[in-house]
Amino acid sequence: MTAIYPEFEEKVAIVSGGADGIGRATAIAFARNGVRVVVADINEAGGHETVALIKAAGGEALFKRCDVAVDRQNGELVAFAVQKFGGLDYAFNNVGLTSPKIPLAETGEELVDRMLGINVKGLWSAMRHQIPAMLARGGGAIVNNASTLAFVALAGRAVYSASKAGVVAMTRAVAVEYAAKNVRVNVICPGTTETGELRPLLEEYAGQPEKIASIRAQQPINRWAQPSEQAEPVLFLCSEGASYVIGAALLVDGGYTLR
Amino acid sequence: MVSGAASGIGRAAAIAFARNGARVVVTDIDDAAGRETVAVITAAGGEALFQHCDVADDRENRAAVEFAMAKFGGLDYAYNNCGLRSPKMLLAETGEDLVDRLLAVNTKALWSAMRHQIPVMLERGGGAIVNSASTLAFVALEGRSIYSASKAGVVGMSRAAAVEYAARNIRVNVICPGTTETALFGGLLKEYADQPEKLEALRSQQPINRWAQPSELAEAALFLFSEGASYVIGAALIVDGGYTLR
Repeated sequence: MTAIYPEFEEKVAIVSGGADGIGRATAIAFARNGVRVVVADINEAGGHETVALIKAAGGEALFKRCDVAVDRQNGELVAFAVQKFGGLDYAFNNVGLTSPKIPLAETGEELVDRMLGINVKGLWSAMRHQIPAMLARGGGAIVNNASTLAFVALAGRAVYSASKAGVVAMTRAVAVEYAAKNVRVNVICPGTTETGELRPLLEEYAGQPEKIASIRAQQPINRWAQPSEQAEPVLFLCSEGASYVIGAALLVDGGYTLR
Repeated sequence: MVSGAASGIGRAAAIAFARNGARVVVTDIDDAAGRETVAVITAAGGEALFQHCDVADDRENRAAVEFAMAKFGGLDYAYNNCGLRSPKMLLAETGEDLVDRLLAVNTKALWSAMRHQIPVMLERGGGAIVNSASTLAFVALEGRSIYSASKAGVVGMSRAAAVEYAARNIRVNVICPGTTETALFGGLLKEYADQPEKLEALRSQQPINRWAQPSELAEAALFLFSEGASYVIGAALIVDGGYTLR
């Protein structure tokens, strides 16, 4: 069953990192429910492909190139949505940088700057342009994308974890700031999802099914998520059904963080 | 199956379930109001039946599940919403009777309810359970120490049960409601009816500056039951208008 949200009809959403994976799945799910979607990414080919998939299914979407680490581009992205679709109701700030596994003391300053620049500062920048546009329309909903690693540790991911904990904390604070003005901000924390980023791992262990099985069994649900399984919670958090859900960090992890 | 469905969040959830086509077993210890929930559902074209159930009695939890099996042929979803609130009372002044009762209804009853629900869901190839905790599982309020412990127990038990059954296609999650405009809450509104500034101060404790409607909790619960939540396992979804954030 795909959730049907009648209130989504004619609404406008921005999905960053919409060229593949969870972002693409969310853009498609939004469009299927009648939302007009601005697909943003630095990957233009993938972004255009997402738009083509949406249009082929009868939905409405446009691509806009956006490097979320550049404040001006975040402003232009919102202006694009307002100009093309008349306003902004929802934003899924999904884009994020993952890093190679690297212990803290071996992580160079450049990588730290880049990680915090995209995952934390990029989120401030995106929201500071999105919120005024939503306020102008009487309200809206923002969903940010953190990670289970905001809550649990994994060796070699110290700076990534810090950046994602920053996403959760910023979400909670901004949620309090705008709750009474009808802009709801929440955050999903996805577990391992079968996106392009999982592929290297699967390839690495291609000839060792028992190794892959043991990694899979780290998830209590004994499988990885499909991107659509992350998209549906994002849609719920944007929907009227989540009208009293403010600053929630929704773990969508198959139980990974429970043990 | 929705427990505590004679009023408030439980009734709203039973109605929302039925509106989406689920056949609902409404359970409660309040027979009259429980039947009223059924009547509301039936009048709207939905399907529901009432079964009296004191969740503190293991036999009655089993009987409720057997009732669902007999009448509707199985069980897919259970919303264990029933809970006992207590008068505000400091820990050292709380008597053993009240402690026993709170833990029995809020914590032990959840074990009892789930231990009868899970096997029939397994038989059917899977299912989903949502338990009702409280924001007080996470934040403190004076005079609510035992209630808080009982609701933290709900979260802990939900998380553990979620891990145990995740790979067998039973998803267990927990919802943590903030202050909701139910009948219980009506008492507070009456108490301050002639003190609008006091009410205003209470309301503004919620960042969203209002209390929840029961339907807002019901919709959040329905999401956790739905296929859209297929990778959501053991999550504690806080539905509190931002109350716990500050």
